[in-house]
Order: sequence, then structure tokens, then C-alpha cells
Amino acid sequence: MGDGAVLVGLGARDRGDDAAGLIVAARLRPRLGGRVRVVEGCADALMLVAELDGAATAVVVDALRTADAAPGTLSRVDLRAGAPPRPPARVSGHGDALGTGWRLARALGAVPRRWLLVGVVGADFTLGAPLSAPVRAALEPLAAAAAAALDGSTA
Amino acid sequence: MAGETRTIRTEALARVEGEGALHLKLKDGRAEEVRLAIYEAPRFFEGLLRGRRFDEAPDITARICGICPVAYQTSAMLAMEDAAGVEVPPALRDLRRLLYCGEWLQSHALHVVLLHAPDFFDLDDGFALAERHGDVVRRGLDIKRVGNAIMEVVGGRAVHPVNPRVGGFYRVPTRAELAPLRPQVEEARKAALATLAWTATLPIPELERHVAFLAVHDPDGYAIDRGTLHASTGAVFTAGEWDDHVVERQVPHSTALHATLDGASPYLTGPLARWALNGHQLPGWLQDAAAEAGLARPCRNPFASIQVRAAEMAWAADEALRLIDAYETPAAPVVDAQPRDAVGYGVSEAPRGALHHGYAVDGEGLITRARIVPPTSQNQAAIEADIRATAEANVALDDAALSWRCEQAIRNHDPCISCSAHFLNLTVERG
Repeated sequence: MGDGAVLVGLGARDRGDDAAGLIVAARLRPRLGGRVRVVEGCADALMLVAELDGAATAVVVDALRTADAAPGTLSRVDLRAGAPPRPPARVSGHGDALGTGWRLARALGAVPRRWLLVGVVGADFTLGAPLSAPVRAALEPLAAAAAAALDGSTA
Repeated sequence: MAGETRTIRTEALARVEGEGALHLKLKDGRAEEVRLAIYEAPRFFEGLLRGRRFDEAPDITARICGICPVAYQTSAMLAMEDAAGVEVPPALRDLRRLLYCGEWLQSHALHVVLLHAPDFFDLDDGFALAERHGDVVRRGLDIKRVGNAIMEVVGGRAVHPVNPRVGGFYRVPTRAELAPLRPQVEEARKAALATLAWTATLPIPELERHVAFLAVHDPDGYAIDRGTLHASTGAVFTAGEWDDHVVERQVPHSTALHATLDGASPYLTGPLARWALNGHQLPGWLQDAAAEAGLARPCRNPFASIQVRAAEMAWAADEALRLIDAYETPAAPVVDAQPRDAVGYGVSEAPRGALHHGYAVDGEGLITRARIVPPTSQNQAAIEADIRATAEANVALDDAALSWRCEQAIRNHDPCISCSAHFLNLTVERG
């Protein structure tokens, strides 16, 4: 395992709040300079695992579906400690890349030393919908939380 | 035991793309009923295409499959260029071929390592294989990643590329943009050859199947992005003559159409067919490596198709290297293709076999008829014949073991069920 860091924004651009991870990755790319590899979107689990290869630190940014928290709520999950939260429905805007990738990375022994999911609870994942107001308002806090996760702080 | 009847059902096949089931009824050791029951809902793509512009076909049909979108794009582009009466120049054709090599690498790597290989270790899935043979899985993922990289650079993105279009590309890469791919592809070639050598260690079950083979053939090289159809029966025909030879029919237990070749069924398209009909065109070093791995030519054992796919990965990487080294930025990214009232046909070699597209276009450039014949639908009858042969040869196994072995017989062909279930034959009767 190397000592590099990677930030992966997951999501689908045309599925409402599901675009949040991609937007945050794009915003952070210039701010992080060359010290962090930034990936916008991984279509499947195998691509995600490939992106983790050689990274000591990996932060995944994604929108979450849950009825347990208000839209716009931020969440941070230590993926070394446990599996990512399962979506309440079988349907996802971009497949279960994170859940499947998490299993495969563990099976391969390819889990980064630090591996965090930074998420935002979405409200609307309708095809063609814009970002909901709560998620739009949470984009900058989400970007800050992702950057902090890369640095090992808890901002 | 005399009079014994066994019924084996697998309601949801694992490690295949799409949704299908297996039904097998054995009586006195003979397979009375064999059904590869494809129950994936029809996807109506041929109906969706009607009324759309001719140049939308590559992007629309790419959505039939997330694993082989380039195959759909290529066959659609060839058909529309045929309808428009244009031919893309060699430089653009080579770029398409490079893109297609990327797709072969990622598709074959997925099947060889994660979908097919677990069968040879009696493991449930790729996760279990990753725990026990992580080096093999990592090697496969590395090959897949290189295939994705080629598709990103040439096609604009790794899945459902956005850059190909009727007549060529929206934008062609520079030599400098292709250059970083070279060392990656070189590594992929080594990894593919290592994978081919590794397949020699697999406990491949014995099975000898004698069915006709059908593959695209290109006299200038191992066919992938263009060519004519060659069959082991001696039949040779163009994409435009497809309907004279391949006839589809509906069967009650499948939402995908079955097919006959010159009135005969089953026949097989895909790796075993390519290996038999075009393998002599592969480089000598690769034929030697395949022979060292124990792969005969022709190979009539579907369980050994994993070896052909491994060899084809090495070839696709080698071909990609050749195309990258020879690449000169084309003078123009596209040739003009104007619609006209015409029909057009295209065929190419998807990772799973020959993929045919046929369209009728009106003078406004709107599609009035579409016909798409994917490899998996063509192979259904051959798969059912394999299940029958496998079941009768392994009748001594208990039901669970026999079911598992028959599932393997299906996975040998890497069926893409989602691709196969796309037809539309809808009749509305109103009182």
C-alpha cells in the first residue's frame, strides 16, 4: 500500500441530489491541488476498488437515502470499522458501487489505512430533478467535511 | 433407477448479466425438458428506435448494455454508414478498433476472473475467490482498469462512451493523449498472458460439443470491428445478407428470441467460434502460449472458453499497443454522413459474439425499422443443448451438485441476458 490519498465523488449527475458527491469532488479538485487524487464518479464497484489501489487514505463522498435524518444532514462513516449504510431500496442512481466495492476491497485485503464515507442526506433523487434546497445549502459544509476527512480532522 | 424422474430448478442464475432461470427435468437419466428461462422484461429498444434520428442509434443502443456498449455503437454506426453510403477512412476505423479493444479487455477480465473462475474452485462468487486467490483477482482488475482507461481516453468515458458517432468521432485524441496508455497496456498484455498460463492449472471439466460456429471474419486481422460472417458450415455472408441466413423465433419460456442459422439450431457465436474460425490469424507467440496452456484449436469444450477469453485479452492488449504505436491524429474526426431513404446493416464482434444491426431510414433521416440480434439470444439454444449434455453426463450427481454443474454450463457462455431481451413484437387489437 502506498501513502497517497484519493477522494472519490460518487453519484449520478441527472438524478437530483445524487449529484452531490460529483459536485463536491469537482469543487475540491482545484483546492486540493496535486496532493490528492480526485475521482468524479465510479460506475461500478470494480472501478472503485481499482481507484483505492495504492491509497493510504480514501474518502468517498456520496448522497444518502434515509428516513432517519433530515435532508441536508451530513454523515461520516468509518469504512474500516464497518460496512457502508445500505440504501433502503434496491434501486440506486448509480448501483451499489460502494457496498460491493467495500466487500471486494476487504476480500482482497485492499482496504486503505483510513477509509471514510462522507455523506449528505438527499431529498429528491428523481431523474432530471435539480438539487433540492437542503442539499444545495449543504454542498460547502459537505466539501469542508470531505477535506477535513482527508486531513484526519473532524471539521 | 428405472422410472426415476428428477426436476431441477434454479430460479435466479448467479454470475450472469440479467435475470434468468434454469429448468431441467430428467427421466431415467435422460433430459426430457431443458429450459434456459429468460424472464427479464423485454426492453423494447427496437420499438424505441422507431421515429428517432438515424444518428441517435449509436447512443440509444449503447444503453442496451453497460458491459459491451461499444459493440452496440459500432454495429449501429456501421449500419447507419451503410445506409448513408459512406465509409470511414482507415485512421478512424483504427481508432474505433482501439476503443473496441478496451471494451474486450474490460468485459473479458470481468468474466474470466469474477464470473467464470469461481466455478472452477466450487466457490460461490468473486468475493470468495478474492479471499483465496487475491493475486488472480487483482490481476484481472488491473486488466479491466486498463480497458476502462482506453475507453475513457478514446470514448470519453469508461461506460457508455459518448465520443463515437456515425461517421467517426466527435473529437479524436492526440498522440500525446494516447501515450500514457502505452505502459498500462503493456502491463495488461503481460497480465493477460499470465492469466492464460494460470488457466492451465484449472480443473476444466471434459465436455465435447459439436455445434456450428458463426463469427465475423476480417481477412486483414482478427475480426472485431468489421467483417463478413463466416460459419463452420461453409456459409459466408455479409451483414446485409443476415436475414437470409439467421432467422429468429419466439419460444414460450424466454423473453429473448431464439435463432437458427440456415435452418439449423443450435449454433454458437462468441469466443469458441472466433477461436475456431479466426484463431489462425492470431500472432504466433499467442498461439504458442495458448498451446502451452493446453488450449486446442478448434476447442469444442465450452468449459475451456475461459482460456479463449484469456488469450483474447492478450491479443486485445497487443492489438491496442500496435494501434497506439501507429496512431497519427486523423485529418478530420468525422466523415459526413447524410441520411437518405435507405436500409443499412452492420455487424461486429461483441465480446460475447456476432452482433447484428439492421435499420431502415426514411428521407428525413428517421428510423422506420430496427432489428438487433445480440449474441446471447443466438446462443440460447446452444446453451440449452449444453445443459442437456452436461446433465446427462453427470446424472450420478445429487440434485444440488447437478444444478451447480448445469449453472456452470450456462456461465461458460457469459450470457448477457439484459442484452438479449430487447425485442418488440406488439400487436394491439381494438374492438
